[in-house]
Amino acid sequence: MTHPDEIDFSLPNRQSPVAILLILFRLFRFLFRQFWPVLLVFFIQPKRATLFGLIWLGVILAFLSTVNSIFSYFYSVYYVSEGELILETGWLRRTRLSVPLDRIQTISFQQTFLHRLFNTVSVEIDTAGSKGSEFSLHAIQHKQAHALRDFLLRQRAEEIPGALEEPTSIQRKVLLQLGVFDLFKIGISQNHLRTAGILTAVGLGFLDDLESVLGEAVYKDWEKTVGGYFDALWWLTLAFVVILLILSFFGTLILTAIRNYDLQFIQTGQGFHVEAGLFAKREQSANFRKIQFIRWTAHPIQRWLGMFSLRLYQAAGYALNKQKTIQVPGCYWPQLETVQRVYFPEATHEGDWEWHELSPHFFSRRFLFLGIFPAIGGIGLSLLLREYQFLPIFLLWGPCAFFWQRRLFRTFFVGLHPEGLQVQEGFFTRTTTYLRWQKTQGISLKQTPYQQNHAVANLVLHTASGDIKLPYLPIGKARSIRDYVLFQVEKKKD
Amino acid sequence: MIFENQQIPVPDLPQVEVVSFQSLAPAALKERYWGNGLLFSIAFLLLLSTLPPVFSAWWWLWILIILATGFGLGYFLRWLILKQYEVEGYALRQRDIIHQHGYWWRSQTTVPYARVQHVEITQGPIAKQFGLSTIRIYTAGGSSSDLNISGIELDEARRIESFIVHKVEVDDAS
Repeated sequence: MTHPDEIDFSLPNRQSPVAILLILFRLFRFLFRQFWPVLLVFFIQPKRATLFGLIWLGVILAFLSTVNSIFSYFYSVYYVSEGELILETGWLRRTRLSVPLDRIQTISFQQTFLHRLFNTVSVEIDTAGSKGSEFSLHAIQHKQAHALRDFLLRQRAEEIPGALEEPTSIQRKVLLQLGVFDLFKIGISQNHLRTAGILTAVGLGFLDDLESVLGEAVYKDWEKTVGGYFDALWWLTLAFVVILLILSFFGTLILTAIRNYDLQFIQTGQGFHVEAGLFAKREQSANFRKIQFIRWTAHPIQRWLGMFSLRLYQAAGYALNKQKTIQVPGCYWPQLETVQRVYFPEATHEGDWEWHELSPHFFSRRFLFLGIFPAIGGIGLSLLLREYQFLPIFLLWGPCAFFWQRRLFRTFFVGLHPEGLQVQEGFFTRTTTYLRWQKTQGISLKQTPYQQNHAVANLVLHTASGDIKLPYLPIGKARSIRDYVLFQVEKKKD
Repeated sequence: MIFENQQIPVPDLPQVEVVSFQSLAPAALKERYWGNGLLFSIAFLLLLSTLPPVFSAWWWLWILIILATGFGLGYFLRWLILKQYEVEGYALRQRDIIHQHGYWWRSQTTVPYARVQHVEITQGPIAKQFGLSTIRIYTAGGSSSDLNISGIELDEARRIESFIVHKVEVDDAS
């Protein structure tokens, strides 16, 4: 390979030959996932007459898919021509996908274990628009990928004057690098119950599959033999729950450590960049101009550890929102400050903020629906069915909901600034959101019948990366915020 | 670039509230009666077909109850459609378009022309009979912020479309 800068992207370039392997690997993984119960049957009861035929079918399929991936490899090229990045693929049916360079929003690299073996990355290029189109290259050499990214960013800077005010693409400032202790802290502050849920679901699904493969009789037989040893079902359940929780705790810890191993949060000339991962390395970049809003959250454990989880919401198609959000699962106050200063430099002046509470109707309404109604229903049902042991739960439900919703109401603040918005909310998990008015795509004022009677309204700010809802504002305030935001969006250009 | 940040007195801002909304075409009401009536009748008949047959001396009472329910629901639907039609409206301003709809659940969405990605006009089979169309205004904000005004005369929709597209172009050029 020559020096990366010498790659001429105006000529058709091929991916790395590793792409053939990757295409094949994906195909086989897909086939395996679909057909593993069939394979299992063969291992358990290999004397099926169709086995021979199926092996032949497998061989033919494998051969055809190999041929297909090789041809696909030779027939896919990418190049840059007349301000467009073009990907041509397919040998039986040609497809040509072109993306105008000035529409490119993000360029991100992904590295799976296989990629790492061959020093390649997959490149994903995303564009704006409500119907997000995606452009991805399975595997290209690491150096070439970086050269492509630099080339595209440079080209785009030429297309849009002022897009790149200072040529600082090489200036990289590492804001945060996670050490072992940080990883441990992030690990223990993750949601272990979610892992437990996933484990249970996977386990049940596996049992289901097993049952259908082995046949009900065999399965029932197993259940009897295994079940025979444990008469006390309660103990079994308890042991199972404890083991599940321990497994989930260590499972999340290990997964978090693998996923965020050597996480680096970097500030570049054009935006922010995150890279992390032990086996599969992921790299994500966000351009300053494409960040729609920023949000950080901290639940009680994180608050105790002094950590936050930060998200940068980027412009992307509606369906792709999740992928375009850049997440730093654990960072500290100095990093948040830096990000906030970059996204919203004017925000630091405390005097510019005007703070508002929500209308008390927010509390009374939510307490009615989440507290009083369920409590009355529960109490009524348990009296009716004479299941008195549940009664204390429902009797306690009312006061708990009261406390919970009251805290939620008391901790919800909307901050208004000439340039943007800050929302603070949350009882267990404290969430802070910053949005610049300029990033608003549209604005809705909504009222339920109850809200119409009580002169309050929900204000929804639509951005290219999701909605931000301000509930139960006094109608006059909601209207004046709307008029102000429209004025801000319409008076000057982004 | 000189950074400007003058104070703007809030009462001086242009207000959405004082805008007078343009109602939908009168034919839109008829179209909605027909469209929803058709849908309702089909749904009602499907529901009826799932009921078990009744063989008793009181069969005529059952039929009466079913008919009364059908007419009652239908009348309610008609009333709701009328109310919704009365509320619904849109307004084109110099720099944005506003759409207001919903009788019980009110909603007012404003999209600045500067944020419009593209505009689309569609016409369903029933709407075609009435010479009506739907205009959709897409933004980068995804389906939740896209404006969707249904029941505008086709010519009117085309005029709105060209007006908005022209506005977007002028904005881009400046």
